[in-house]
Amino acid sequence: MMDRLRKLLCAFLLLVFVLPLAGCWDRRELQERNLVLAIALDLADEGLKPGQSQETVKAETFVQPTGSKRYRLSLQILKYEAKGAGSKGGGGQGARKTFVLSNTGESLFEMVRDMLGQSSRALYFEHMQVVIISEAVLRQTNLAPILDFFFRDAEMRSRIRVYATPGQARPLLEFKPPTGEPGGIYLNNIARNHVKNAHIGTARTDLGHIIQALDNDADVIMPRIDIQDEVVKIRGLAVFRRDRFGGYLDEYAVQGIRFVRGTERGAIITAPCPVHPGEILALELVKHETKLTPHVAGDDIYFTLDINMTGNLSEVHGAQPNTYDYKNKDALEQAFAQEVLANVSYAVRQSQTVGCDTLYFGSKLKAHEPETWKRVKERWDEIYPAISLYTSVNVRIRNIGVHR
Amino acid sequence: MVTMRYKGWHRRIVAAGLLLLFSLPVSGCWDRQELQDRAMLLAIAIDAADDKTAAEQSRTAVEKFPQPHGAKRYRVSNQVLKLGASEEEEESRTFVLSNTGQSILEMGRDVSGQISKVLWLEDLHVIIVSEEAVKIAGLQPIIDFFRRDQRIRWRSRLYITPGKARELLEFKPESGEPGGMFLEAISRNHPKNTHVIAARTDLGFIVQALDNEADVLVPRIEMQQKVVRVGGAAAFKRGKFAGYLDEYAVKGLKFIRATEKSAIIAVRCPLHPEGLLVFELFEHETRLRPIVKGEQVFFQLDINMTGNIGEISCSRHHCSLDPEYRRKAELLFAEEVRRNVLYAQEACQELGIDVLNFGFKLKAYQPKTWAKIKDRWDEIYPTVPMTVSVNVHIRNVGEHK
Repeated sequence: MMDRLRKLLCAFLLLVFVLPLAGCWDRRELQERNLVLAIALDLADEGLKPGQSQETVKAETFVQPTGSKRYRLSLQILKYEAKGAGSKGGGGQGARKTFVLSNTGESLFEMVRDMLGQSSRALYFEHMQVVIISEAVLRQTNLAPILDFFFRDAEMRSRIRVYATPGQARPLLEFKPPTGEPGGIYLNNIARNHVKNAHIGTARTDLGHIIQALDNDADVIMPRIDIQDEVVKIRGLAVFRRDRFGGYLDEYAVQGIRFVRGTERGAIITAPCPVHPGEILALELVKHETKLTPHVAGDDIYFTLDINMTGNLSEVHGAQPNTYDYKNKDALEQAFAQEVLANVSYAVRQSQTVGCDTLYFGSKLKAHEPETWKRVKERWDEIYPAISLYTSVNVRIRNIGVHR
Repeated sequence: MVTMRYKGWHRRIVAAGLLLLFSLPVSGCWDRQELQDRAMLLAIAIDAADDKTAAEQSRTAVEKFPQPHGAKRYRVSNQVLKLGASEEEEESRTFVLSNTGQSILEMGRDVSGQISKVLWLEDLHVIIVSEEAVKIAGLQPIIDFFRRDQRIRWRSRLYITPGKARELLEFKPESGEPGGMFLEAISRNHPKNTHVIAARTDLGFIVQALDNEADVLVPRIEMQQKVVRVGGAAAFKRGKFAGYLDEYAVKGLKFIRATEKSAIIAVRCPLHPEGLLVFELFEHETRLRPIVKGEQVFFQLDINMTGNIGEISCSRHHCSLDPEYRRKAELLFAEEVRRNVLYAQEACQELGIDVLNFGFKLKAYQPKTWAKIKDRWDEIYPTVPMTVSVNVHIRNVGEHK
């Protein structure tokens, strides 16, 4: 009797153990998902497809009880079945790897859900790479309302890139990268080169950092991206006062800001040659220490910035470039230091003109001089543009490359 | 000795016979038709025969046959899967064949004169009927073939389009899927897209409704400038086209029928009228009851909803965790749902289509009243009032306050 019971139990257990082997009951295969790689936000009457007119985009929208047709939201979706550049022998001759869907409305969430009416598969945002917002949208509204959907939704990652573009955002989603990568991944990866390209202000500007800045009532900065005739480039920054769009800073200002914030690892600094007038020298930065300190003297608030740089002489222009001729290395170092100084003051001046605290003066003051901060924080917007920065730069040339 | 030898011989014959017999099934199916010898129909489009442009005239001169009975009423287009089509960007994975006539079956057979393979209907995904075609004689004559033929699956999807149905078959999906499969799959997203009425509206359900002489909704599909979108519904009163319901009415209807799994409900923010406050619905209970008081029939709808705040597009200084703010938001969402549901009811009653199932509910719960009024139901239905009570509960606010 016991024996039979044991056998029955065994058989039963075996059956139970088999159950989990059947796999996930509500699985959704990879190829049954539409992965959204990039989102573009334009005003509703912008971002039309080539040949589309306002009257003919009715198919892309829905009857909306609340709110207006304010924005056009475009999603870039990964195509699974597209044959890439690889199968065609490289060179990006293969089929486009993404396609774009659009919709108009006011709530981003509502537009996204209505777009399921144009898609044969469910939309997945877990692999989203980039959000691109057109300048026209930024001029019309604050940043927080349009990013709220991305803050709140659990599918959105904090490491998503957010870009501002002076033109329309949708053409960037339709851009076909020459490398054969899917568009959104390409656009995101450009930002990763910021370490060695001091003109790209993408350090600490992804979605997570923007949320942080907004939560702390700090000013937001965001890389600017441009497209013109099939050329895409990240250049400069879009700057905000809190979350209100304030304008752009150019690449030179970005480089200066990065010298202050110390977020670059290898910058190229060019300076006029002290020996051969009219020619230039280039320094490749390899080490960089920065210290920004607030000082309070009575009612006067000022900052000091100490920069220590070590680098290699990486390019010399001139009739007969022979580095040994430069007997006086000090003069060269001086020239580079002068240049860094000029660059930093340019960046500070530009930032103060647009009123965006790109250099973290406010948070430095709060941390180091909390009493003073309490006194001035209400008037910070007025005080900030007038704050002086005293910079001292020390540059050391360590090496001259593999050729004299 | 002789008998023994005879016996061995006999056994050998049997063995040889059996061997021959066993080898028969090994040769495979005698009347097999290889996959690549079949022309799989993925989608069928039905237009009105005269609904075509002059440029198409010359084409359609070939795409027809002399017809002893009936008129050249419909133009039926068949989307056929190209087997072995490469997935290159330029090439479509399907092609379209058309024919004109009246009997759908007759046209289907005559279209074989345009193709080298046998037409195969078992994998039919979509039937698209144009508004023009359905206005000629209603849905019934068009759909009869599909409900009678045993090759047609009941889970095939039926759409109505205000434009030309054939153009939808020629649409090449950007995702690279064959057109018919793409068009059918759009509807599968309906649990999360309240603008698509795809629950209980496939061929089987529509046939059921027509058999019960019930009113029916068919999802509406539209193509404009290479954008295909499903949204809204075409309404049929006992098989006759009555008009369209817009996305907002469809959403309200889905709240009443509770056929959605998630919905997005947007209202104006109570503190900042320039911003929107958006609710994401997760759980939803609905109860529709008929109540009879004397001569008066009315319906009571109770809706209980639970969900999250999905988006706040106004000031970031909102504290969405504030209980008072939340309470206010819940009331606003409830009011919006009420408005939506009443909008849907009004739209249905205006068209005179009982897709809210008022009639069935009354028949089930108040059979005596139903027996009294069923002959006058068409007159009574547009005036039946519905009282709505909505309760919304906000459970969570998402990843960020």
